Amino acid sequence: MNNHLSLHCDTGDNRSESDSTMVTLVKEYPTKDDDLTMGEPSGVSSPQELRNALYARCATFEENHVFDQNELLSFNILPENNVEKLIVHTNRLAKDGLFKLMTKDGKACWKVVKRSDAAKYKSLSQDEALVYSYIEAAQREGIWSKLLRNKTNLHMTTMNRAIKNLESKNYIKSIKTVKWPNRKTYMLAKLQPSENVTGGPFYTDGILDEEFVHQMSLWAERYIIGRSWWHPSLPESVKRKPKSKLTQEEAEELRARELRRGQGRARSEAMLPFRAGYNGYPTLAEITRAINASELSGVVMKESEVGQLLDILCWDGRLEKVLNGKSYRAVRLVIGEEGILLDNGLTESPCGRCPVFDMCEEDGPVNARNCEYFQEWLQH
Amino acid sequence: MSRYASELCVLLVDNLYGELTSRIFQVILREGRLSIPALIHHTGLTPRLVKHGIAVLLQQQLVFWHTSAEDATVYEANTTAAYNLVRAGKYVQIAEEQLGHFAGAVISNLLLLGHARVGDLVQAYGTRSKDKPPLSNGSGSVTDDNVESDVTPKSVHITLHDLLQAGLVSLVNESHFRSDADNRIEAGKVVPAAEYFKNKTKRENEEQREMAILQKLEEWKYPTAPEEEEVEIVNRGKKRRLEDPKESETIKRQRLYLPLVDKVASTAGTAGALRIGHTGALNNDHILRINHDKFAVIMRNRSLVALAEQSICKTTAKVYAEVLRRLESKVRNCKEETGAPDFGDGPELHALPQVSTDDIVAALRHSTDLANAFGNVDASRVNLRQSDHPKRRRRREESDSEDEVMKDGNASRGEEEDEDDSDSEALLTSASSESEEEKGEAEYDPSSSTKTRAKAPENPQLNTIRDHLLLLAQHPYQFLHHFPETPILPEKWTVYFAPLMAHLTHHTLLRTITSRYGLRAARLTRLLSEKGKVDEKNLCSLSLLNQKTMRSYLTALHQAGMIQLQEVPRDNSRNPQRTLYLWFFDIERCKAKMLQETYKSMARCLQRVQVEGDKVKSTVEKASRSDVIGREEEFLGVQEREALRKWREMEDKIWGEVARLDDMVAIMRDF
Repeated sequence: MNNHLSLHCDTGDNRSESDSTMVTLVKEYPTKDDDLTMGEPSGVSSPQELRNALYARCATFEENHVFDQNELLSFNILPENNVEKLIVHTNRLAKDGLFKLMTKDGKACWKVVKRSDAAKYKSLSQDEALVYSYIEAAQREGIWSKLLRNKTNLHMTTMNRAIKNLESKNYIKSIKTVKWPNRKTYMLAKLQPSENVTGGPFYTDGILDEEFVHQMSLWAERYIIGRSWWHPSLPESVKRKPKSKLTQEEAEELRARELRRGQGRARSEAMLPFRAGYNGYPTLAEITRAINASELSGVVMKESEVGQLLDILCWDGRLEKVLNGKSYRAVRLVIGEEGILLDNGLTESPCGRCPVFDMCEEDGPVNARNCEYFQEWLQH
Repeated sequence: MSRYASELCVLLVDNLYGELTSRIFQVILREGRLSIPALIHHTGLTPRLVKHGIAVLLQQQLVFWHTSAEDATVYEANTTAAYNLVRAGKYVQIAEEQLGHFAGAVISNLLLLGHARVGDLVQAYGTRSKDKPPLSNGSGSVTDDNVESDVTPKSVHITLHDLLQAGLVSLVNESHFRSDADNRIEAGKVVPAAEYFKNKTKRENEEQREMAILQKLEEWKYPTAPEEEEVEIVNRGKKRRLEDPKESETIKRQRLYLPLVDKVASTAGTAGALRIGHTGALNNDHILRINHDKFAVIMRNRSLVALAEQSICKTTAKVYAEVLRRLESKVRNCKEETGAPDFGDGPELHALPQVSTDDIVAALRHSTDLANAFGNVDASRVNLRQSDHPKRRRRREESDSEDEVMKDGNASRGEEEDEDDSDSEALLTSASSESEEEKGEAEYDPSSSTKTRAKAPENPQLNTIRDHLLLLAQHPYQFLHHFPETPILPEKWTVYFAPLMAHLTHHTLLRTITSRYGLRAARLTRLLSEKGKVDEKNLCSLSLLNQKTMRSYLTALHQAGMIQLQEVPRDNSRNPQRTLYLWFFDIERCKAKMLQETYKSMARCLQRVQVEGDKVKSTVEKASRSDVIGREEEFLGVQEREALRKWREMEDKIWGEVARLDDMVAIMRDF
């Protein structure tokens, strides 16, 4: 148990990670402990007071600070500053749930537990406390129920009961991970799941937000098209005064124009390449800045996430990497969706798109003689 | 040869040479090598008909033949030649573009004849109406009448000479009538046994013999010199008896022939010019045929130019076309990188045929729109242009130093190259290149860009064209390979085809996939080709697609054979739950699959032409009667004429489609 806990004794900075998640984080500030204000002990004190003093001294440190025995001894709180006494006191504190015993490099060390959390432990049964401790240790990643059972070594029903109780007390919650949507995963109720669990800005409630991805990629693409090719300046005629009433077409045109006014451009036949050695092709950092400046996304996107977006645009055949893969350039002519449609010999022939092509044989049920698709194509 | 490909070949033969020929061809294709008696047995035709058919097939080089020691001649289908029938139209068009209208006519004539003596060709033009060339199988007119009017034997000779020089036609060699395997055996007979080579070990002897055989095969494939004495000694006796007289004469005449093509012709062309000068004509006894390899090279260049136009711009593509045209004469085959021996890790780039910047500049001297093809006419971009200079300079300095290291290693080869290239340069840019070289040696400056700029006033287009060329070289596809200027050598460019072709194929396949299965499918395919084998989970998170959506695309692609699935069991039980499923994209498999589909599509198109033709058969037959031709108005009713017009339109459309499908085949198979 101690070994396992020590793995989690140094957590990363939770707050910075959660900044970019799409769901706004309910930030958790440590509640001031009641005993924190307790004054320094004077004269001879009871063991209880000594422990309180030790706890209070430790609680002034930052939340996840890990104390080793030398550090505790250096506080000079205990009257006879020896190791045996210290261990007696810390053991007692650990038993009360106020200290967490851990090992580091084979030596014992301790972490302070908040009184409110300690109170939670006190209200729990032994099994529940065990389950709770693992779930707590899993932090923002959550823990899979099967893994939890293996670690606690509890019987299925016992564990399920413990989980149920914990859930009803609102200590823990069940979450959905992106990677394994079918696994039951639990974490503390007060925490927000990490990005590994939620999948980053592209996911909402564990489900990929395809529309968001699509819109972001469209914007990024337009941005890159505008910067990696030279475009003729827009015709003057579009700067007319908008009429009060618009027909459908005019409205659409206006919308397209509004879109064009942004930083990006659509592909056109008229665009020309820049001279060789042009190094103004946007880099990942520039694109990330531009996307964040555009405030299209509710949260700030990281470079790695924008990189993911640009990767899929490359795989879509809409962008290509230039200048040793550091910068991006739009592919001049692309096929599909809003690009220019480029067919080749195979796909434009009736056979190239034939749904029953595999069955087509001479003298077979489908053949060139009775082919309807061919007829259609010939008359087209 | 796959089923659909053979189906297509038979259809093509049938379409051009009729049912008898195609029936025999089909049997040969199906059964493999057959002798005449076996052919008679399989086809159920009379010996006379079979021999007729075989004669046509031989004339068109559609079958290989081989006479074994027991005097039995066997025939084998030449599928490449049969497939190439579909390219006839393209060949004529290419010849017209390169060497004028009349050259196209000569090519179409040669296509009809299969292979022909120079004398016969000339004669056919001279006194065409009276006696047709004896080799013609009577399939229609020889050329258009309007071309005929001002044709003299001399002009035919000159055109043929031009065609030979361009490599569009080549001399016929006996080996062209043998299958690769037979050629190899024959070469083995000619080359002395391994013991003859006096090396230390047996293995070395074997290796040397192997080299000798390959060299022999090469000589046969591209006949240039009057040699192969040995072959003839070995074969002459049999050949005379078995082959029709024309064939055996071929062999004899080749000995008299003076080298004209490829190597000699491409470097200086002096030998050919001299020959024409002396006699005013090619030897009438030379036998010519279409050089399919060269046409494939030209077709490849075209698709590369199209790719450049798609991915950069039209003007740059124009410059690229010029570079490829310069290199064309030095590339005789799509499959091998000419002149660059491959030592395992790709050919030596420096040994590839090169072209210098000055050549290109000279060729594009009169083009006016080159400078306007760049975006930086916009004044606000000027600062960007300035910013690239230090970078470019640094890059060039780096590669300069690399060059120097290389040169130390093999200085002699570098000098040879220099000589070779200055030959062709001398023809094209005369004194300017030489003076430039001198200048380069005298005042060499590591930052060669300053020199280029200093030269700019002399030739304002130089920088523009260099920009176009650099743009091509810097493109991710690497259209060009850049050899920067060195003290000895001027700046040069080459095309390393192998990787470029990989890009072209990939581009074509992906385009088909995009068009058929959608953008998302293309995304998954590209992802797989970049990442290798990926399991579904990772694929899902990388492609940013919902699992459900992604699965539907994967299934469609998998079903169509575009991507593959590998199962890796994690233990011996092979339990599906404990098995990893990895998706991957194998470009070779995908290519093969798509090639087969293309063959099949082509075959279906041709079948449909037949079907549609049958519908209006009587009208077509009536229209092609000799008394009706030219007087259609008189003999045909309105309905008949309308049906005929519709049928012709339809035929044009389908054949156009077939030609476009052939472009795909060329990319996937030939380039």
